Amino acid sequence: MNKTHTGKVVQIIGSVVDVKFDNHLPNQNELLLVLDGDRTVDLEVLAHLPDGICRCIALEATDGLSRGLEVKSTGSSITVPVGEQVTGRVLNALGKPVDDKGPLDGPVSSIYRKAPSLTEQSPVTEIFETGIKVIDLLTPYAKGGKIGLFGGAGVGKTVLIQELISGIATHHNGRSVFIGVGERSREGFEMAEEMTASGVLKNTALVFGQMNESPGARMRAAFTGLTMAEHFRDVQNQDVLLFIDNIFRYVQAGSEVSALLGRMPSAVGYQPTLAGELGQLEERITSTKHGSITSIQAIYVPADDLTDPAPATIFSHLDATTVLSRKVVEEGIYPAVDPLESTSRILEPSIVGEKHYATAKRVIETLQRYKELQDIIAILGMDELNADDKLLVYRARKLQRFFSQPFAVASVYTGIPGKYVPLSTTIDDCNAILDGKCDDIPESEFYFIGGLADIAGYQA
Amino acid sequence: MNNTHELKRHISGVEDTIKITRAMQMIATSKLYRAREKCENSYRYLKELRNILSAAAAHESVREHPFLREHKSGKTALFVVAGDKGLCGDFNHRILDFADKFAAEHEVSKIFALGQETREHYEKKGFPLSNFYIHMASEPHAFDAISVANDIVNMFRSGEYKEVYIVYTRTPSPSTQEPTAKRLIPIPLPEHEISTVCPVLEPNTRAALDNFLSQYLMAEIYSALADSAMAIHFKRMTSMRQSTENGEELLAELTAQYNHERQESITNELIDASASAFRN
Repeated sequence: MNKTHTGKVVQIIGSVVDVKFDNHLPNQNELLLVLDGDRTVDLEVLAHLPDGICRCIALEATDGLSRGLEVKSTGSSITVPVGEQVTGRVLNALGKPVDDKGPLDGPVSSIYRKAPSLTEQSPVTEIFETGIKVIDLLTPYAKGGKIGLFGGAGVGKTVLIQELISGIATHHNGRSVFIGVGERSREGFEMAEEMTASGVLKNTALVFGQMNESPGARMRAAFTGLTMAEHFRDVQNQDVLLFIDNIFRYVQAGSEVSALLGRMPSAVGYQPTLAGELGQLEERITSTKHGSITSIQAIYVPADDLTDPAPATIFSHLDATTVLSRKVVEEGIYPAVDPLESTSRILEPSIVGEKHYATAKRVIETLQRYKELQDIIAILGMDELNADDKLLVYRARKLQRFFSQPFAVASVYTGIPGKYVPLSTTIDDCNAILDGKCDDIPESEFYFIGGLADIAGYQA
Repeated sequence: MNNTHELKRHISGVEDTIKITRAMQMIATSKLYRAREKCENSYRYLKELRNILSAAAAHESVREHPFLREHKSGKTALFVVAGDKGLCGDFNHRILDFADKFAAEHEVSKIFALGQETREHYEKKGFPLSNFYIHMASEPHAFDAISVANDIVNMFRSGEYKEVYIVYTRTPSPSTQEPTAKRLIPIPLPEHEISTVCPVLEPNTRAALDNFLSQYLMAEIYSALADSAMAIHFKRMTSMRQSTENGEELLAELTAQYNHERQESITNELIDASASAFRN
């Protein structure tokens, strides 16, 4: 079975390499090695063409390869190290360490696995407090749930995910896995440094397939990290935190590969297999009866258009979606969560409790009404509003500003230390604003505070 | 994509609003001319009446008339003049705020309200209104002033009240508007020199004064209503012009956005179509 066979490179187009095997054809998704002098380049089989030719995607740069080079089949798909050995380490998409801490020789696992079956999955019913006001109140995250942070370029997805890591992962006793897909490699390096400093790194595995990598590596990095998380969940029965920044880059890499393979592009130039590819990944990120994976995924939204096929497809996989919007950024409010676009499946009275639910509904109604009135205000001016609506507008504006919050990870830039706000405080404070207990406090006082108690002169 | 639909709906909504504000601006402009004329006429009439009053006040007995004499005890009533409708900038807010402040300072126990907005303002505050007058704020007629004057005079005759004030928007010129409070009864005697020529009062002082002072009160109220109406039209004209401009600005923004999205979707479709054509 494990007998290796050899073939020859017959065509190279960018990352796509065609290999001809004369007698034995390697399986789909099998890992092949191109022997180029003293180095090897990893390939993965993606298609079988006639005449014994395998169309493969390179997982590393194909610079320096040439036709006629010898290719060895390995008899297995990509395998990556799993278990305790990966914690505290930084790995690439192929599971190879990139942190100069020596090789890993423990157990390995294939990155291709089946998603947990229907009966193995367990529903999510418990709220996961993040200490971020707007998130806890309006899009509560579930333990073992799947959470998406949507946002266009430069609205603060990465900062928010880093804040969540520093807020949650540092208090989390179990294992965490961070996967960097197609983002700046500098960010990955900085994250590793910070994690070392805060001591989180010893419980965390970092997997990077960043911008500098080939599309094949970027596409597979997500699976590599996920396989490690699954191992913690299934074998060690742990509650795992999985951070992915950024799922969209996985789709983008898939689209590059698809184009290189010559598949016909579908809507807006995406791969025709968009939904399938995403399902393959997302369906595996789930909680079972043995352990849970709480995943927080950043999703880039091209041109701020949430109806774009990629974010639209990802939407349907998630339990909670936090949408970061440019309009909110323009008001200078960070985190720039759009309260009306963001949702959570667990925002219902039986899970979060009557009081939380009622407060969230009130907040949303107030903000919704403010949004409706915005046209009137823009055209006719505030004077044309009746007294009730005017009051509502003032309170809605205060709520919007109250939802800004200083972040621990941003304290180097803003000079304000990060604030963790317990959910109960958030609920009480929002009710206080809606009940008009803060009508005398100017709007600007609500910028970048923790609870209302931070405002001098406020008495609960 | 779907977004263009939403934008189109939004654009047509703004367009409709602009149509309304533009029409209201034009109507207010033409009404302003008429209101101004009325206002000037009422000033002239009132001035003549004042001259007569100051002449008559030379009689000692005249100053003892209950409409002119200062009363020591009793309550204070207020006649508040604002508009029937909104869409005239801060006109209603300004005058009603002023009236509220005035009422608090003078312990007003009864309010006559003119204008739908005034009525709603006091009803919301839970202040009982015994009299309100609507449909006369923007085009006051002499008959309106007569009926208001009659109500006030009747109430005053009961003796329960020592004074009645009017709060209205004084408009020396259309662009300067001052919320003003003025005493209606007892009628303040003109301050300038009291004429030494005593007019003859027929058939007797009391009967002549009763008649004349009612007339005078009516003229005073009519002039205030005319002033206020002119202010409304001017405010409506300027605020609707501003609104139209705001709306046009918003419209330009939305249209640019719409064109952008439309073009983008066309480009995308073209790319999709040409990509597949290229492949085949």
